[in-house]
Amino acid sequence: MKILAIPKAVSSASANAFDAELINAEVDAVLRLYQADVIREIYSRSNSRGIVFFLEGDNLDEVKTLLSDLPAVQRGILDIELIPLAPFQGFLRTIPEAANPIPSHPH
Amino acid sequence: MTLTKLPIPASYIADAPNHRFTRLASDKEVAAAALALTGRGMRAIVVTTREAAKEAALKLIPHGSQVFTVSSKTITQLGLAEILNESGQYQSVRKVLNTLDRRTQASEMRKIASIPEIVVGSVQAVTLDGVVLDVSMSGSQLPAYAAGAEKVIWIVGAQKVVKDIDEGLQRVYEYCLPLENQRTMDVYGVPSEVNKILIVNREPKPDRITVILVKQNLGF
Repeated sequence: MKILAIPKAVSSASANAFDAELINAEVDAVLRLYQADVIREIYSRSNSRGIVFFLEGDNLDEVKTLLSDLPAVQRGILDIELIPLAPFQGFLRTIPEAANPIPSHPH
Repeated sequence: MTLTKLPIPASYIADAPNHRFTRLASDKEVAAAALALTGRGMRAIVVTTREAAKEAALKLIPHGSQVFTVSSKTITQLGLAEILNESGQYQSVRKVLNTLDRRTQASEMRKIASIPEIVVGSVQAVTLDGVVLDVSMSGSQLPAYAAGAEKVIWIVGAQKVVKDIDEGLQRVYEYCLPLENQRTMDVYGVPSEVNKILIVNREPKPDRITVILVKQNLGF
């Protein structure tokens, strides 16, 4: 299952909560999840500070558990919104040709 | 980013390679570079051995594909140039180029080398935040790398992972250029120069570029 993860600092977190030690620990943890093939892609947000990443896991609960080990999550200063993704099937309802695909063998 | 190393005269060549740039990146640095590449629209594959790198590259190249192997010590060391150009299982652009006359068919050679289906080569540096640097004397591989090839496969030894673009350029001038200069003197009898620099900041076409990072010294 592909999952979009959007980390956000909790509103009560102080501005200096992310000290160098925490950032290093967080980077190590993220890289371990990449090496474990859980985190697949990482992006910086271009409309605000922060990052998002795409993950792959068997289910949402498994990914939640893995991310709950991130140091900043454990310290209670980071929340991560998880959005499970599925293949888009909307075209099937709106494009007649998609609902009646062209036969692979001409009749 | 300051790009403090530029401009440097194209003819500048250090006396001897700075072997600081043979240091293998740590597992953490390799993972950081690989993950950062994904955020710049490139696929990253991390492997531990040369054999695994070769296998990973060949998996990405279907039999029958039209393939251009760039002149590269990395590709030669892996035996990929031989497989892709001599096995008969691929359409070798290199083989076609070797049949043409540089004096009378240079235009055709440029066109053929610019738009292969797949280009396979290496680069001089990958930064920890996923920027790729490739430097060339003639620029012959750059059209295919930048946009001409449908697919790009770069195989990169872990000694090429650098902190940032500045350090990447330093690597080019202080390590790659003296070695490349020796090679061009031996092969062509002319000195090398840093004439063209490609910096890939992001690849907008999904899955166009794959970077295979190898946790070993490979190429220069």
